[in-house]
Amino acid sequence: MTWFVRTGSGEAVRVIVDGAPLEARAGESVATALLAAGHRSFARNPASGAPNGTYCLIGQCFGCLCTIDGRPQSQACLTPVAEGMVVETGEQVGTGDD
Amino acid sequence: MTEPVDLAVIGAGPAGLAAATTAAAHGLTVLLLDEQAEPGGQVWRQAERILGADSSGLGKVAASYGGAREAVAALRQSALDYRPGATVFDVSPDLRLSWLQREADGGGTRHAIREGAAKALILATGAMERPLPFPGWTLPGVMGVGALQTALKVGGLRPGSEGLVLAGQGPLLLLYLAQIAALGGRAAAILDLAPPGRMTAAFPGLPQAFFGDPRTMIRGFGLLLRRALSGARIYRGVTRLAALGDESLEHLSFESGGRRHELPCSLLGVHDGVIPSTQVSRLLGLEHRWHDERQCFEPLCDPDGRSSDAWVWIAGDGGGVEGADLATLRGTLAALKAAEHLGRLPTAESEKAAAPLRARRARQQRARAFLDRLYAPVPLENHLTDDTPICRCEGVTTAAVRQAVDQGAGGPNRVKTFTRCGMGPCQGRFCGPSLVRLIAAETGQPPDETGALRIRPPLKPILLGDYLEAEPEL
Ligand code: FES
Repeated sequence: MTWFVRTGSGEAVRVIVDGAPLEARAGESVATALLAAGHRSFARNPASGAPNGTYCLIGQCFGCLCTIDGRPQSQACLTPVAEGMVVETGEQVGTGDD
Repeated sequence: MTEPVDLAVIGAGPAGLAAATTAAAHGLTVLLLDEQAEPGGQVWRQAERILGADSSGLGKVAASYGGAREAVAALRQSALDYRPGATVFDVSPDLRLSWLQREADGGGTRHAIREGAAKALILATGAMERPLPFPGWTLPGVMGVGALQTALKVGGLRPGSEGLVLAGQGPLLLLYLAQIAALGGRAAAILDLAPPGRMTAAFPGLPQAFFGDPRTMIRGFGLLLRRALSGARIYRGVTRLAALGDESLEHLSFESGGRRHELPCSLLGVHDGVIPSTQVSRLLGLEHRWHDERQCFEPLCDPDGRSSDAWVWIAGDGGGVEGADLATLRGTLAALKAAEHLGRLPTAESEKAAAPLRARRARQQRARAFLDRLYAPVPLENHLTDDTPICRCEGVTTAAVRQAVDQGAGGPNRVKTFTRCGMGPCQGRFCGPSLVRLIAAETGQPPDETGALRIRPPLKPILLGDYLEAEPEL
């Protein structure tokens, strides 16, 4: 089942996610760029080992933590994408449309 | 150290924008700090992009951006000091503010700790979705409806094909359904989590609500009609909701109409209304009161939004949820009173401007009272099981919380020490509200007595490297 589809249009911005290029949309957050690419979880919860869920997308739940431009524990939902930005996720879950 | 500005405003949603621009128009020096990269807060998220978008695409979402164009234009024309990308992590009682400033730096992003001081403060930190814990709510694929709406506004993401189910209640859920429908999306099913009899209970307030705020009410009934026509299968009086899946959501199980149901589902939007974000008001030690009908704490404020600290006002949903229309009004009101308090606006003038605003607010609040009753929070016990995590960060379960209470933890801070509930990175934002309700149910004590989780700086985790790179303002 398709997770999300893109609507509307926007300027393209290229970011690098786990070493691979990903086309994002100017103005969006790293979190929505990853969700659009089919990443369901960006890291595992250190307490439970279960995959984190991006519950809120407004900076409250901390379920979107990943490493952005070398900065660990970054909130992907609060970080706008930028050309050439390097994003590293933890163990990924459900990447791609399945 | 810098000279303090007259007024600091935290949050650039409807309330914060109105507060900051009104204060600046009265000659105050204003510092406006906002965590987002663009003005508008959550309700007018990406206002400038959405309002400029093609009306066949994302521009369709702009219908819910009434007032945004004027508010953002006022910001852009104002000389006030607006800092987007500013995450406030500490505010001292003498109104010194510390924040982590994110800025673009060549191709990358840079973070620096900044500091400032203010004579008066307006908190316009808005609201968050009320956490509704149920088995499996931590699985990837379970998201707040507000989060789904944010994904739509920010990235143009709408759910694909048949995978979406919406569970919960309230205006935001209905609005989101209408927004995705306009863009060719749909929900396969809607699980109405409202217990039966709510409409009957709220009904006597309907005429007053229509009289007080006809626009909101007509909009609401329009959305209910759109839900009926949306083609989604509606299950009513749903209880015992559970999200199931291995590494992410695969299906749902729930009871409705006396039967157990199972549905395949890859994306679940959950919504049970919104509650004030009180991290900063708690950090400042302002007085709060439990609102029994809304089942949440709200900062104690006078009708103009002034808190228990004479130099701090709270504007918009952060001071009690009343919606975007009233947030603008409350921001204006708080700014007028702050200007008066700073001796920059004669009392007679501020009163003349404030009186009609107070009257309009009192009238529109009648619709809010109706909505509060109609969409009273879903009882926690309808869905909780012993092993449901209350705390998403630390995985602390209902049973663990109940056990701590049995062993004598009579309030949230004791439960936190016993169980680690609230010790994770979200610092109690997601477990705190449910924890208070659970403790009240277990002990029979009113939340005003048992209290809330204590909030300490930093409000958001700060890295050691940020301190090393600290560049206090000169
Ligand atoms: S998704 Fe909740 S903090 Fe980013």
